[in-house]
Amino acid sequence: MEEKYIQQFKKGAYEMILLSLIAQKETYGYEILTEIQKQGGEIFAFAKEGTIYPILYRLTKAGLIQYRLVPAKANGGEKKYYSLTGEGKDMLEKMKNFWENYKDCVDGFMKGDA
Amino acid sequence: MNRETYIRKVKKQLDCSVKEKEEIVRDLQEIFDSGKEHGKSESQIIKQLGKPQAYAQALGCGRQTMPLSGKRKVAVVFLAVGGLFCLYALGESLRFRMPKNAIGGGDAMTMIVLQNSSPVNSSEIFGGLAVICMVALVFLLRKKKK
Repeated sequence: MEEKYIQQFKKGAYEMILLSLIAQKETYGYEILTEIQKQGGEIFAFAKEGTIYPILYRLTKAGLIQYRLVPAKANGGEKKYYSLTGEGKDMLEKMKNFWENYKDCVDGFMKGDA
Repeated sequence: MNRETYIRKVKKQLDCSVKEKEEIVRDLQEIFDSGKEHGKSESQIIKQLGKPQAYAQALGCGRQTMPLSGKRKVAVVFLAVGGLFCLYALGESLRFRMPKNAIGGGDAMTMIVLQNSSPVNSSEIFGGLAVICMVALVFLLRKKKK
Protein backbone atom coordinates (compact mmCIF):
# COMPACT_ATOMS: atom_id res chain seq x y z
CA MET A 1 0.00 0.00 0.00
CA GLU A 2 1.22 3.51 -0.76
CA GLU A 3 2.87 5.31 2.15
CA LYS A 4 0.45 8.25 2.03
CA TYR A 5 -2.55 5.99 2.75
CA ILE A 6 -0.69 4.30 5.62
CA GLN A 7 0.19 7.70 7.10
CA GLN A 8 -3.46 8.76 6.96
CA PHE A 9 -4.53 5.67 8.92
CA LYS A 10 -1.81 6.14 11.51
CA LYS A 11 -2.42 9.88 11.96
CA GLY A 12 -5.81 9.32 13.52
CA ALA A 13 -4.58 6.75 16.05
CA TYR A 14 -1.39 8.26 17.43
CA GLU A 15 -2.95 10.67 19.96
CA MET A 16 -5.08 7.89 21.44
CA ILE A 17 -2.14 5.46 21.57
CA LEU A 18 0.10 7.99 23.31
CA LEU A 19 -2.58 8.90 25.86
CA SER A 20 -3.12 5.19 26.52
CA LEU A 21 0.60 4.55 27.12
CA ILE A 22 0.93 7.57 29.41
CA ALA A 23 -2.18 6.41 31.34
CA GLN A 24 -0.42 3.14 32.23
CA LYS A 25 2.48 4.82 34.04
CA GLU A 26 4.43 8.07 34.28
CA THR A 27 6.87 7.94 31.40
CA TYR A 28 9.25 10.02 29.25
CA GLY A 29 9.61 10.66 25.52
CA TYR A 30 12.23 8.12 24.55
CA GLU A 31 10.57 5.40 26.60
CA ILE A 32 7.24 6.14 24.88
CA LEU A 33 8.93 5.95 21.47
CA THR A 34 10.56 2.62 22.33
CA GLU A 35 7.27 1.17 23.66
CA ILE A 36 5.41 2.11 20.47
CA GLN A 37 8.12 0.51 18.36
CA LYS A 38 8.06 -2.63 20.55
CA GLN A 39 4.30 -3.05 21.01
CA GLY A 40 3.32 -1.69 17.64
CA GLY A 41 4.36 -4.71 15.61
CA GLU A 42 5.14 -4.05 11.99
CA ILE A 43 2.73 -1.10 11.87
CA PHE A 44 4.66 1.08 14.32
CA ALA A 45 8.06 -0.63 14.36
CA PHE A 46 9.63 2.41 12.70
CA ALA A 47 7.88 5.19 14.62
CA LYS A 48 10.12 8.25 14.55
CA GLU A 49 11.13 11.02 16.93
CA GLY A 50 9.80 13.54 14.40
CA THR A 51 6.32 11.99 14.70
CA ILE A 52 6.06 11.23 18.41
CA TYR A 53 7.62 14.26 20.09
CA PRO A 54 5.49 16.89 18.30
CA ILE A 55 2.37 14.97 19.36
CA LEU A 56 3.58 15.02 22.98
CA TYR A 57 4.09 18.79 22.64
CA ARG A 58 0.60 19.30 21.18
CA LEU A 59 -1.05 17.09 23.83
CA THR A 60 0.69 19.19 26.51
CA LYS A 61 -0.51 22.45 24.94
CA ALA A 62 -4.03 21.00 24.77
CA GLY A 63 -3.92 20.32 28.51
CA LEU A 64 -4.36 16.56 28.12
CA ILE A 65 -0.96 15.62 29.52
CA GLN A 66 1.36 17.34 31.99
CA TYR A 67 4.99 16.85 32.87
CA ARG A 68 7.58 17.27 35.55
CA LEU A 69 11.24 17.89 34.73
CA VAL A 70 13.61 15.31 36.20
CA PRO A 71 17.39 15.72 36.04
CA ALA A 72 18.88 13.07 33.75
CA LYS A 73 21.79 11.48 35.60
CA ALA A 74 23.63 10.28 32.48
CA ASN A 75 24.26 13.58 30.70
CA GLY A 76 23.34 16.47 32.98
CA GLY A 77 20.25 17.37 30.98
CA GLU A 78 16.62 16.93 31.97
CA LYS A 79 13.80 14.61 30.96
CA LYS A 80 10.11 15.44 30.86
CA TYR A 81 8.11 12.75 32.69
CA TYR A 82 4.53 12.78 31.42
CA SER A 83 1.26 11.87 33.11
CA LEU A 84 -2.39 12.38 32.15
CA THR A 85 -4.33 15.38 33.42
CA GLY A 86 -7.99 15.00 34.46
CA GLU A 87 -8.99 16.28 31.03
CA GLY A 88 -6.61 13.77 29.44
CA LYS A 89 -8.28 10.87 31.29
CA ASP A 90 -11.72 12.04 30.13
CA MET A 91 -10.49 12.48 26.58
CA LEU A 92 -8.93 9.01 26.52
CA GLU A 93 -12.26 7.45 27.58
CA LYS A 94 -14.10 9.37 24.88
CA MET A 95 -11.52 8.35 22.29
CA LYS A 96 -11.78 4.67 23.30
CA ASN A 97 -15.59 4.77 22.99
CA PHE A 98 -15.36 6.51 19.64
CA TRP A 99 -12.77 3.97 18.47
CA GLU A 100 -15.13 1.04 19.29
CA ASN A 101 -17.97 2.65 17.33
CA TYR A 102 -15.63 3.61 14.52
CA LYS A 103 -14.23 0.08 14.28
CA ASP A 104 -17.72 -1.44 14.08
CA CYS A 105 -18.83 1.09 11.50
CA VAL A 106 -15.83 0.62 9.20
CA ASP A 107 -15.99 -3.18 9.59
CA GLY A 108 -19.61 -2.95 8.55
CA PHE A 109 -18.70 -1.14 5.37
CA MET A 110 -15.94 -3.62 4.61
CA LYS A 111 -18.37 -6.52 4.96
CA GLY A 112 -20.82 -4.68 2.73
CA ASP A 113 -23.72 -4.77 5.18
CA ALA A 114 -23.63 -1.32 6.89
CA MET B 1 24.17 19.29 9.57
CA ASN B 2 24.93 18.92 13.28
CA ARG B 3 22.75 19.16 16.39
CA GLU B 4 23.19 22.88 16.97
CA THR B 5 22.59 23.74 13.31
CA TYR B 6 19.41 21.65 13.24
CA ILE B 7 18.07 23.26 16.42
CA ARG B 8 18.92 26.72 15.07
CA LYS B 9 17.07 25.98 11.81
CA VAL B 10 13.99 24.77 13.66
CA LYS B 11 14.05 27.86 15.89
CA LYS B 12 14.15 30.05 12.77
CA GLN B 13 10.96 28.39 11.53
CA LEU B 14 9.05 28.95 14.76
CA ASP B 15 6.30 31.51 14.98
CA CYS B 16 5.46 31.51 18.70
CA SER B 17 6.33 33.23 21.97
CA VAL B 18 9.87 33.39 23.34
CA LYS B 19 8.88 31.06 26.19
CA GLU B 20 7.47 28.46 23.77
CA LYS B 21 10.60 28.67 21.58
CA GLU B 22 12.77 28.04 24.64
CA GLU B 23 10.65 25.04 25.58
CA ILE B 24 10.90 23.60 22.06
CA VAL B 25 14.69 24.08 22.05
CA ARG B 26 14.89 22.37 25.46
CA ASP B 27 12.83 19.47 24.13
CA LEU B 28 15.13 19.11 21.13
CA GLN B 29 18.17 19.02 23.44
CA GLU B 30 16.46 16.22 25.37
CA ILE B 31 15.73 14.34 22.14
CA PHE B 32 19.38 14.49 21.09
CA ASP B 33 20.61 13.59 24.59
CA SER B 34 18.23 10.60 24.80
CA GLY B 35 19.18 9.42 21.34
CA LYS B 36 22.88 9.70 22.14
CA GLU B 37 22.33 7.72 25.38
CA HIS B 38 20.92 4.91 23.24
CA GLY B 39 23.76 4.91 20.76
CA LYS B 40 22.25 7.07 18.00
CA SER B 41 24.43 9.52 16.10
CA GLU B 42 23.39 13.15 15.57
CA SER B 43 22.79 12.55 11.87
CA GLN B 44 20.58 9.52 12.63
CA ILE B 45 18.53 11.58 15.07
CA ILE B 46 18.24 14.44 12.57
CA LYS B 47 17.00 11.98 9.94
CA GLN B 48 14.40 10.69 12.41
CA LEU B 49 13.29 14.22 13.29
CA GLY B 50 12.74 15.20 9.66
CA LYS B 51 13.29 18.58 7.99
CA PRO B 52 13.38 21.58 10.36
CA GLN B 53 10.42 23.26 8.68
CA ALA B 54 8.34 20.06 8.82
CA TYR B 55 9.21 19.59 12.50
CA ALA B 56 8.17 23.16 13.30
CA GLN B 57 4.91 22.68 11.39
CA ALA B 58 4.20 19.39 13.22
CA LEU B 59 4.51 21.22 16.55
CA GLY B 60 1.81 23.62 15.39
CA CYS B 61 4.17 26.61 15.53
CA GLY B 62 5.56 26.74 12.01
CA ARG B 63 5.79 29.97 10.07
CA GLN B 64 3.11 30.47 7.42
CA THR B 65 5.58 31.36 4.73
CA MET B 66 9.20 30.64 4.04
CA PRO B 67 11.59 33.43 4.95
CA LEU B 68 12.84 35.21 1.81
CA SER B 69 15.87 33.63 0.17
CA GLY B 70 18.97 35.76 -0.41
CA LYS B 71 18.22 36.32 -4.11
CA ARG B 72 14.65 37.27 -3.39
CA LYS B 73 15.73 39.77 -0.75
CA VAL B 74 18.02 41.51 -3.25
CA ALA B 75 15.28 41.56 -5.90
CA VAL B 76 12.80 43.03 -3.41
CA VAL B 77 15.24 45.80 -2.44
CA PHE B 78 15.97 46.68 -6.09
CA LEU B 79 12.31 46.72 -7.02
CA ALA B 80 11.36 48.80 -3.98
CA VAL B 81 14.06 51.37 -4.72
CA GLY B 82 13.35 51.29 -8.45
CA GLY B 83 9.63 51.64 -7.90
CA LEU B 84 10.09 54.60 -5.55
CA PHE B 85 12.46 56.27 -7.98
CA CYS B 86 9.99 55.83 -10.83
CA LEU B 87 7.20 57.29 -8.74
CA TYR B 88 9.40 60.27 -7.88
CA ALA B 89 10.42 60.77 -11.51
CA LEU B 90 6.77 60.44 -12.55
CA GLY B 91 5.86 63.17 -10.10
CA GLU B 92 8.61 65.42 -11.37
CA SER B 93 7.72 64.85 -15.02
CA LEU B 94 4.09 65.67 -14.33
CA ARG B 95 5.11 68.84 -12.53
CA PHE B 96 7.09 70.10 -15.54
CA ARG B 97 4.61 69.01 -18.19
CA MET B 98 4.04 71.73 -20.73
CA PRO B 99 0.52 73.09 -20.89
CA LYS B 100 -1.47 72.05 -23.97
CA ASN B 101 -1.65 75.36 -25.68
CA ALA B 102 1.89 76.53 -24.88
CA ILE B 103 3.02 76.22 -28.45
CA GLY B 104 1.38 78.28 -31.08
CA GLY B 105 -0.08 80.85 -28.72
CA GLY B 106 2.64 83.41 -29.25
CA ASP B 107 2.45 86.28 -31.74
CA ALA B 108 5.99 85.91 -33.00
CA MET B 109 8.62 83.28 -33.48
CA THR B 110 10.31 82.14 -30.33
CA MET B 111 13.72 80.76 -29.66
CA ILE B 112 12.26 77.90 -27.67
CA VAL B 113 13.53 74.66 -29.02
CA LEU B 114 11.96 71.46 -27.87
CA GLN B 115 14.71 69.10 -26.82
CA ASN B 116 12.59 66.11 -26.20
CA SER B 117 10.77 65.10 -29.30
CA SER B 118 10.30 61.42 -28.56
CA PRO B 119 6.89 60.04 -29.42
CA VAL B 120 6.48 58.62 -25.86
CA ASN B 121 5.75 60.89 -22.94
CA SER B 122 8.30 60.50 -20.11
CA SER B 123 5.47 60.46 -17.56
CA GLU B 124 4.06 57.40 -19.22
CA ILE B 125 7.45 55.66 -19.17
CA PHE B 126 8.03 56.32 -15.48
CA GLY B 127 4.44 55.56 -14.60
CA GLY B 128 4.59 52.28 -16.51
CA LEU B 129 7.90 51.30 -14.89
CA ALA B 130 6.52 52.13 -11.43
CA VAL B 131 3.50 49.90 -12.04
CA ILE B 132 5.73 47.05 -13.25
CA CYS B 133 7.94 47.39 -10.15
CA MET B 134 4.94 47.37 -7.80
CA VAL B 135 3.36 44.33 -9.49
CA ALA B 136 6.66 42.43 -9.36
CA LEU B 137 7.07 43.32 -5.67
CA VAL B 138 3.57 42.05 -4.83
CA PHE B 139 4.31 38.86 -6.76
CA LEU B 140 7.59 38.25 -4.91
CA LEU B 141 6.17 39.01 -1.49
CA ARG B 142 2.98 36.95 -1.90
CA LYS B 143 2.37 34.27 0.72
CA LYS B 144 2.99 30.79 -0.53
CA LYS B 145 0.02 28.43 -0.28
CA LYS B 146 0.39 25.78 2.44
